[in-house]
Order: sequence, then C-alpha cells, then structure tokens
Amino acid sequence: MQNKNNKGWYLLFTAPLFIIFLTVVVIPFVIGIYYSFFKWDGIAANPKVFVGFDNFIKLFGDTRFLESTWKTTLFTILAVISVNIIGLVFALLVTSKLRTSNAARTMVFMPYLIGGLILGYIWQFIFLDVFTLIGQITGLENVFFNWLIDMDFALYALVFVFTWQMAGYIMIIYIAGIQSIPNDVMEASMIDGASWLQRLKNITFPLLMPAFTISLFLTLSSAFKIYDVNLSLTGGGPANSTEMFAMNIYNEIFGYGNYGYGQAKAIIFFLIVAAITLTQVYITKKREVEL
Amino acid sequence: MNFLNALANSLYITILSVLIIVVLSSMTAWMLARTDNKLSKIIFMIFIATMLIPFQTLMMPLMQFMSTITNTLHIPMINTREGLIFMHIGFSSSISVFLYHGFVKSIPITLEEAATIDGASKFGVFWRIIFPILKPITVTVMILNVINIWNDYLLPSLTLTDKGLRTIPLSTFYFFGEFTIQWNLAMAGLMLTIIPVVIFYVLAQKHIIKGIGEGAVK
Repeated sequence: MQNKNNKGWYLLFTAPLFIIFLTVVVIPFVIGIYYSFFKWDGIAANPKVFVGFDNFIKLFGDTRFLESTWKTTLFTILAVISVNIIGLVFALLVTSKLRTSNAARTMVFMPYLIGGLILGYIWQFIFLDVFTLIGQITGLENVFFNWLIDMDFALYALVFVFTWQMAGYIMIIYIAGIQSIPNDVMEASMIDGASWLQRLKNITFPLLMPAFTISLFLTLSSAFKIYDVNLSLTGGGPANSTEMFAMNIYNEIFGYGNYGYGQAKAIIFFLIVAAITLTQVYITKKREVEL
Repeated sequence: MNFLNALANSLYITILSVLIIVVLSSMTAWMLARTDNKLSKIIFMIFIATMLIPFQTLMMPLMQFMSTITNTLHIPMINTREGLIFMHIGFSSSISVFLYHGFVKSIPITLEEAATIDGASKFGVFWRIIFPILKPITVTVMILNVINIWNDYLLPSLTLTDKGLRTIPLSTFYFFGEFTIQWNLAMAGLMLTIIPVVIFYVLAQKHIIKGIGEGAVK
C-alpha cells in the first residue's frame, strides 16, 4: 500500500512539468529529425517528398551555408577570447579593494539585462552616426567609420557588441570563482614571498579552472548560437557576409521556404554545438585542480 | 510603438511563466532528487541532454506540432499569450530543474524524515519545509528566467501574429522596420524599453549578483 501511495505522489510532482517538456522539446526534436529527410515548402496542402539523405548531402555543397559556418566559427573564436579576457580583467578589478568596484560591476553587467536585440539596435545607431562623426572630427577615418558597411569590420562589430553583452555575466562568474579561493592560501604564499604576478599565475589561475570551465561552456555555446544581436546589428551584414549559422537556418526555413532542407541544417547545427560543448567540458574538467 | 500595450504583454507573459516555472520545476527536481530509482535518473538525463539542443533545431517542428494541436484538439496554442507561456515553461525546464536538483541534493534528508514522522504529508513536507529552504536558488531561477523570457525575440516572433499581442522585443523590431531613418524617434523608443530593465536591476541587484555566482559554482 505504501508503494501505490508513493507512486501517486511521484506522478503528481513530476508529471506536469515533464508533460509540458515532452510536448515542447522532445516531441518536436523527434519530429524535426523526421522532417529533415523530406523536401517540403511548409504549406500543408503541398506534398512532402521523401528525399532520404539528399538534404544532408546538399548542405555540404551549399556555399552560403559553408560561408556561414566559417564566419560563425571565426566569430566564436574571437568572441570567446574577447569575452573571457574582459570578464576576467573586470573580475580581478572588482575584487581588488578599489573603491569603484560597485559602480564598475553595475555598468559592466547592465548590457546583459538589456537583451541582445535592443543592444544591436543601439550599437547600429552608434556605428552609423557616432562613429562617422568621431571620424570626421578627429580625422581618424580608417578606424572611426561605419563598421557595418565593411564586410570584415561588420564581423568585428558583432564581436564587439557580443562582448559588450556577455562580459558582465562572465565577470560575475569569475568573481564568484575568485571569492571562493580561501584566503589562507593567498596569505601563505605572500608570507613565502610570492610576487603579485606569481600569485596570479600559480594560485589564482589554477584554482579558477572550474569557473573557467563554466564560462567557456557558456560563451562557446552562446557565441555559436548567436541570433538576436546578429539580426538587429547587421541583419546578415553587407551582402550576407555576417550571416551566422542560426540566421542562415532561419532564412532557409522561413525565408526561402525550404522546410526539409532547413531542418536538416538545423540538425547538423545541433550536432556541431553538442560536439563542441561536450568536448570542451571534457577537456576543461580534466584540468580542474582540487584544493 | 504601442509601448504600453507591449509592456503589459511582456509583464503578463514573463510573470506568469516565471511563477509556474518556479513551482513546477522545484517540485519535479525535488521528487527526482529524492527518489533513487532508474526512472528518475533517466528522466534527469533527458532534461540535461536537451540543454544542448539549440532553439533553431526545434522551432520549425514545434510550430508544426503546435498548429496541429490547435487544429485537432482545439486547444489554442498559436497566437495566444497562454500558448507562449506554455512553450516558455517547456524551454526553461531543463536549466531550472538542473539548478534545483543540485541544490536539493545539498539539503540533508533528515529534515524531511523528521517532518514525516511528525505526520506531515508529502505535500506538507515540500511546501512548508523544503520550499522555504530553496529560497536562494529560487531567486536565481527567477532572475535567469525573467531575463531570458523578457528579452526573447525569436519564440514570440514565431508564435504571436496579432499586433496587439506583441511583446517589447517584437514591438521594437517592427518599430525599427518602419522607422529606419528617423533615429531620434527610434532612440526615444529604445530608451523606453530600457527603463523597466533598469528598475528591475536596481531593485534586485544584490540577488542577481549573488544568484549567478552561486548558480555557476554549483
């Protein structure tokens, strides 16, 4: 009788959320895999044509898609380096005993709250008007022009705005990591005569590895999946040169109406993201130092 | 830009979604963490594994599935705020359950055993003892979800077609579509959208910083 009672409670507590979760995530995922083997234009009345693996073979020859993949990878590498360096620098700054720490923390974190889409619009304005204005005033026109019209600089603009958005969030994670380093280890090293640089290199960095794992995981996956900032800042950029992965998929499905083909791309997207993030977590977990 | 309307929509959707997420995911995570059988482990694994799936992989089949439900079962999913709330709950469940699960594991089970001996039902144990202890992680879950849902553009853009149902990111997007050159109007509009966020931050500042730090380290 106990068993039946327990099962009842178990269901009551877990079923509601699990059912919603199944409907919204699991079932569409499976349906998506099914769709990727078909050619379809999204209109229910038109037939779905079974094409097997054709969609997957096709995407290896799709130059715009491959361009997207390359640009997204480039963006991700630059973004991850940029966000982590800035986040770490500010974290070190905020945890030192300088008086500006609270204000700095607020200002660096605020962009994360504003959200990607709106940030993109703000910076579009800045690049368009403010940059050109500064360029005219100072005469440094090869640095202060509208970055968004140039195919290379538009990508850098994306990195810039993404860093602006994420650095605050990552800074918080590093702050938590730094604050969890026990004081006695630091004091012992100072008694032993370690310089600031030595302490940074041999104590802070190794003990920050767990925070680094998390922040690398977060930045890698958010950078790779970027969409909001992409849409509002460049909209795919001058001549599709900044069309990232996520945007390419969206345009394929809802723009061109190639539902099956687009879904096949989406599945590949998932596989790449999963492969990258799992590998990264595995490698960084191995290097974490236990105290 | 129909700001007040969009603000009302955003508030309604965000607040309801976050409340339901907190209640349901804490319940689910607690039950999964306290029941030590194979089923619980499998369910938890499924929750975590899906954290890797990007939204783009799900957006098209989700829309198809939701229209099918709307047409056959006559439950309105598309183009309603309630349907959007339903979907937001689904997408948030992975990370919310993950955060709660880790925290619950750190609560000693002796507390619950003592309460059960004193005659509390499972419901009583959860709501009167466990949930108050979960306050720190609840704050984290609330804040993360508020930020995600408030600023979400893609999901509402696919689900809500009525002009009157638009959330703030949506109305900003369409506003910029119409007024691409009148930057003074556009900037004013953007300033409006930032105000609620600033208010939220000023009120919740301490909790946000604490919550993200704790959530990450766990």
